[in-house]
This record gives sequence, structure tokens and C-alpha cells, in this order.
Amino acid sequence: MLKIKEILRAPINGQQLYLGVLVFYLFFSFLRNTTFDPYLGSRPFNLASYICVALLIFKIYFLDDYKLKGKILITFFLLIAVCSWRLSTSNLIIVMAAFIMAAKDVSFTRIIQCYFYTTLILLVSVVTFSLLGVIKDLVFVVHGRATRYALGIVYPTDLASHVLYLLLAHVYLYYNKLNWRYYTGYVLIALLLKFITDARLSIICILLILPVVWTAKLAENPQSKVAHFITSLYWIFIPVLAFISFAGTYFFDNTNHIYYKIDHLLSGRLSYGLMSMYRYHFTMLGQKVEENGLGGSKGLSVFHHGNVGYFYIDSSYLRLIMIYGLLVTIIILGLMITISVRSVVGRNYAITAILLIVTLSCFVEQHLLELSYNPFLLALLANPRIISEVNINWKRKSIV
Amino acid sequence: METKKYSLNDLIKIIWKNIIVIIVFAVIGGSGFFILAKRKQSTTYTAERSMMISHSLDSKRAHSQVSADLAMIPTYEDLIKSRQVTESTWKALPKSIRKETSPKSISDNIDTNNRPESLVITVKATTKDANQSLAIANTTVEVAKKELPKMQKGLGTVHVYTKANRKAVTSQTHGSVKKYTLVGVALGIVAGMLVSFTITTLRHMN
Repeated sequence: MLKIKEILRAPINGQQLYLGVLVFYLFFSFLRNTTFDPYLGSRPFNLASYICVALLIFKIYFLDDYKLKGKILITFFLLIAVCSWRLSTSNLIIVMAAFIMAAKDVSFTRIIQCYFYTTLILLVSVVTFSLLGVIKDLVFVVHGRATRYALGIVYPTDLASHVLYLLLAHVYLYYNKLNWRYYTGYVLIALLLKFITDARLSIICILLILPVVWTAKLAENPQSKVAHFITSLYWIFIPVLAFISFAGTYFFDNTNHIYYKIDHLLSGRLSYGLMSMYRYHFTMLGQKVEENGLGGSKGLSVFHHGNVGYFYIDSSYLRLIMIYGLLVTIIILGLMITISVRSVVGRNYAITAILLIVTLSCFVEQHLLELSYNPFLLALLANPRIISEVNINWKRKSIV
Repeated sequence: METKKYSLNDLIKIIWKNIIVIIVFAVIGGSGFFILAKRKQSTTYTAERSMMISHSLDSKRAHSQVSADLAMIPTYEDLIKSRQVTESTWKALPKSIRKETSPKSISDNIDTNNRPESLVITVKATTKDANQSLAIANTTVEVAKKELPKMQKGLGTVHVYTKANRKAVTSQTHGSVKKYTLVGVALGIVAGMLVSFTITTLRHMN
């Protein structure tokens, strides 16, 4: 009882509010992509999203320290996000925008810690409950390919993505302690994932963590010029992959032998992407796109009927352009490049290395704007210097 | 001051200390979903009656007649569900049932079934009341017998089979309360774990 009174009387700490809202949102957002979703429906999720956005806007305008210019700039970006939300009918953009804008003065390490443990608890629980039979474990069987288990998540590839992003969060948290033991652990997890989900592209991304992070750690030594050079070029992949994603699909030609092989390797992503370009035109601020994915029980039945009616835009970059609009795409890409370049300049190579893996992964999967997968866009305004910040916060007791 | 890193052991300790919070949430989740499931639960009753539209097997053209009758079955099914039949059905129903239904609701409630290569058409009526389903199934077939010859020239004989009775009505319960409660408990456990984790970390931070 006393504890509750204590909690109610304590002054509102911006960082604590942010992290609390993050955990609250992650709970609903994570469960949305599991076989718990048919029991919950979309209303609790949407309601939770809007509550989170409201609380974060409260934090931005009433708790954060911004001069007038800062407030105008933030309002401008939030308005763009609102327009894109209304036009695309997908509230992912406004939630992500709110979380990014509200992250000022919040320690990024705390965010990633929060994300890591929350998502880990959620993932382990969901997998456990699916194995116990409380919720469905969807199984996808294809001739000539291994049996793929989704273990409570809505699709096996999404399960692999969760593991990939959890590993990336782990890399960030333990960045200074990484050695061959950790790397071996990552490879073992990748192997285990191959047996369960056979999600080739996500597993390749996990394996790429090793060279990418290793090079970044080499770059910390001021004498290794080559490593530093390579690491400072990591950000280039962001606009390049986005461009390839767009141009490669636009110019896709089924009759070209090489194109056909690449499309086959990417499981048809190019041809479905091109289909989306035929069905929908390009917009500045987004449009509603009707999709029929392979996730969930509904998707499983599409899968069992030979993928008739399947239509999904898998590449995050193409999704940004088609669903959320050209303007939002440019802003998000600019955001990612800013984070990447700024961390190289500040000699904080962890973020730029992780962002490279995120960039590569988002080329083939659709989770760039989903917080339950990708928390790394929050690095824009969040504070990467954890130790001193936490100390100052702790000494000040509150920011209000 | 170091940032606190958690090991698996720490996580176990946190769960044990906050097990009461988790149990409370599990109970709230379980009971919440139980109530939800009970409210969503509904029982429907299905009555069925069979009929057949065919020509006599005595004639020389019996074989082609049967083929023609088989080919007409999808059409007959459409005709049975058409407005001409459902409106007449509705008018033929007893007054008490007529008050609670409409011709449109009747066409929503009936369904026709047919096995491939079989001339038998089974008319099924599914509603929330056993007597309603019974009346609708039986009356639809009677009305079809009268209306179909008017709608198609050269129709064979419409044979109607035994009326469905109360004992033959089957019931289906929708929505499994047990499953929903289990899911509620599971969600409660997860929410409880997250809440206790958040409280513990926030306490350590301030």
C-alpha cells in the first residue's frame, strides 16, 4: 500500500515515463505478431498505440526541454507522420515517430536494455506457450524445403527476425565485452534457428554480424586505418540498398535469366514488389495497400492453397515508398544515415555496425518501422553516453 | 556507478520475489477472458431435410435424364435460396416464428448440401432456436416442392423426404471457454512478469 502511494506521489520522470510506455507498447505490439492475436483482436492494440502516442506527446511538449525552434521542428515532423498515418491507415508510422521524437534525454542503453529484456521475456513466453499448446504453433511444409516452425510467432521468418534483433541488442549491450565466446554463441543460435525456421536470409544476417562487428571493433584502434575506412563507409549501404530495392523492382524483367535467378533466391520478392507497383501508384505521403501475407492462421490457409491470392511487400524500403510515401521514405533514410554517420564521427562504432545489419536485414524483410523488432531508430535523439547521463539523472532525481 | 546488468540468476530471483504480482495478473487475465468467452459463447441448432428432383427411371432416356438432372443441381440450389422461395417460406411459417424472422434472415439461415454424383439435395437451417430451425427446414422443402415447378419448365418430380423432428436437430456450441480462459491466464502471466520486471528496474534506477 505504502509503495503504491509512493509511486503515485513521486514526480514524473521523463525517462521513466518513456521506458514504461515502451514496455507497455512492446507488450501489445509483440503479441500482435503471435498466435495470441486472434484472441485479442486489433482494438486493444490500436487503443494501446494511441495511449502510448498521447503519453509520448505529453512528454515531448511538457516534460522535455526544447526551445521554440526545436518544438516547431518536432511538430513539423509529427504532422508529416500524422498525414502518412491517416493516408496509409497504418499506425506504425505515428508510433515510431512519437517514440523517436520523445527519446530526448533518455539513455539509449536503458532503452536497449528495456527492449532486450522485455522482448526476451515475451519471446520465451510465447514460444513456451505454443509448445505447451495454449496457442497455435503454425507449421509450414513445402516439398523440397525443410519443415518450418513458427513456435507461436505468426510466421517462421518473423521468429528468425525477432532472434536477429535480440542478438543485435545483445551486441550493443555487451559491445565492450565481445569476444570469440560470444561470437560462437551467435553462430550456435544461428544454427539452431536454421533447424527451426529455415529462414535463410535472416540467418545470413546473423552470420554477417561477426565480420561487421569485428571490423568495427578493429576500427576503435586509432592505428588501423583500413578498418576505420571500411567502418566509416557502412552508412553508404542505407541509400544504396534503398535504391536497389526500388530500382531493382522497377526494372524487374522476368525473361532476363540473371534477374530470374536473383528473384528465385529472394523467394519472389522482386516479382511481388513489381506487382505492387502495377497495382498502386507512387505518393508523397502514403496510401492504403491491401495485403495478404502468409502469417497467422489466415496466412497458413493461403499457404496451403498454393499461395493463391498472396500479395505482400517484403522489402522495408519498398514498403516505405509504396505504403508511407516518398516524403516519409526520405525522412527515415535521412534519419538512419544521420545516426550512422554521427556515431562514426563520435567514435561510437557499435551503433553504426548494428545499423548496417539492420539495413541489410530490412532489404528483405518488413520490420523497419516495427518497434517490437527494431528499436535502433530511437538512437536519433536518445543519449548514447549512458554512464554519465544515468548518474546525472540519478543525482537530479527528476527532470521536471 | 555501473549500469546494472542482469544474469539469468538475477532474473530468477526477480520472478520469485514478484511471484505474487504474477499470480494476481494471471488471475485477473484468466477471469477477464473467462467472462469474455462466456459472453461470446453461443449455441446454434441445425435441422435438415432432404429432397430430390428427378425423372422416372423407367423411360428409355433415363440415362441422359439423370445426367441432365445432375447438371441442374447447382441451379436448383440457387432457386431454393432465391427470394421467390424464401418469401413464400416466410409466409408459410407459423405466426410466432414469422414475428422473429424475415425473408432475408431465412435466406441467410439456410444452406443446401449436395454430394457429387448424387441427386439428393439436403436443405439445412441453422438458427439460435431449435424450433425455428425445424420449422424453416421443413417449410422450405415444402415450399420448394410447390414453387420450383413454377420456376422451371419440364422439371422432373420433386420428391420430399421425411420431415425433420425435434430429436434430429443437432446443436453446435461456438467459442471454447476453456481455451479462452487458458489464453487469459497465459497473457496474465506474461503481463505480470513484465510489470514486476519494470517495477524492479525502475526502483533500482531511482
